[in-house]
Amino acid sequence: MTCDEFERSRAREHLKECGHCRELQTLRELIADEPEVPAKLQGRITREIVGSLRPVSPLPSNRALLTLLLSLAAVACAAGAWWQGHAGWLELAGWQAAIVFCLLAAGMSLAATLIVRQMVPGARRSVPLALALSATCALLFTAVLLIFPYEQDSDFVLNGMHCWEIGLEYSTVAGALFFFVVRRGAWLNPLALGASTGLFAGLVGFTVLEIFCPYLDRAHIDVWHAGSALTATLTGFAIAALCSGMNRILRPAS
Amino acid sequence: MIDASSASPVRAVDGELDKLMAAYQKADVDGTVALIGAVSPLLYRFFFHQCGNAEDAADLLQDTWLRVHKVRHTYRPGEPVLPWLYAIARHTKVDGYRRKRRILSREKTMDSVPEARVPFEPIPASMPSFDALMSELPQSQREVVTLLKVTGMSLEEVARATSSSIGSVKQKAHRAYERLRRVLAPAVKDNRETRSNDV
Repeated sequence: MTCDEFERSRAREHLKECGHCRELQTLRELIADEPEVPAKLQGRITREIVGSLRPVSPLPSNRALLTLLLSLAAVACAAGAWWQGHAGWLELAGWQAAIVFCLLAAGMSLAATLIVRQMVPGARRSVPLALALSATCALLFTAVLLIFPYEQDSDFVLNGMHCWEIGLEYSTVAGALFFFVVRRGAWLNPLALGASTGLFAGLVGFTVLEIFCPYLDRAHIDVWHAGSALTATLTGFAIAALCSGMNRILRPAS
Repeated sequence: MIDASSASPVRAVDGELDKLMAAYQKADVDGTVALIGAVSPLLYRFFFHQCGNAEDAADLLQDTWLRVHKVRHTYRPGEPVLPWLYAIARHTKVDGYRRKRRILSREKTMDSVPEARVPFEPIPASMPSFDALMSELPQSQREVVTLLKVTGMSLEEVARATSSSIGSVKQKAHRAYERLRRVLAPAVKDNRETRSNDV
């Protein structure tokens, strides 16, 4: 007796005893005669697909994609630190730097994992990543409120706008780099993928600002530094929505 | 519970699909035709039971294949094919539903009533039809039951296809079975009584 036959005989015995499973068996019998695919449709699909067949190389592994995205983020951060300077890094106390940069690294890792999972349809989901990422961002926001002092700044808006612009510049550079990786994905949910990519790019901008900006005022950091990350997220979402809308216009529903 | 008398057709082709997908990625015509032949009936059934409409199922099947063709490089050899495929099918169905709603919102209502769909298969008099049973379920539970019972996927495969956890799939399936049990109970009872009277 093979394993399969053994399983079947066990299932038959179970069916004799279990009323619940017999009812489900009734459901199974109801769907025994399945609808057939119309031959014409099958033929049309086959012709269309075979007519445009080209060899493709499969996506690299999740680990390779993750490494690539995080390396690009590191390159963008390093370029920002080299170009803008690292006055902020010098101002930060060791424990402040440890908390902020650990949370930023965790946020970037989660965002990159979220992006990679969205690129491949049917990927395994063990942890609700979107929730974990939101929690990390909330934690970062709260940590900034707790570990940095409040300082009176007469040029709150002017200084803030300067940081916001720099944050967005580096987010744009990082977003453009990430796009070359992300565009190979499946884009099944473009809005979510756009927002995640925007957030990842925004966190790169945030990191550059933390290295560069010497203002350690909690209001300045939460409004303008975190604000640039939020703007990048919304921009990613808006670009994806715009592309989806354009796609819809170019391929009318009828 | 899987049908005790015969193995699911999905399980039978599952091992083969991996090889056929690899052939499809290498632009092998025979492999591609075999893949389309093996997978299209599964997808068609999935859409048919989700929409209850042969025309919509045909449209969605075609759209799904176009998408699959575009993103075929995102399949990695060695990974299970069905969750990958059904994840694409599921998104195509959602997009199709949105598109349909958009079209309906622009259409004007007509005086004449369209003809009702002719049932695809003869239904035993005492039993509710499968479509009628499915219509008793909320959309999320209907999807899970269709994937588990019609396409014969495992819990993990359904979890991957629907982007959710195994626990969530189990919970939805359990709730759906409870509800179906309540709906089916009178029909099963009638059936048993009829059989015992015949004997």
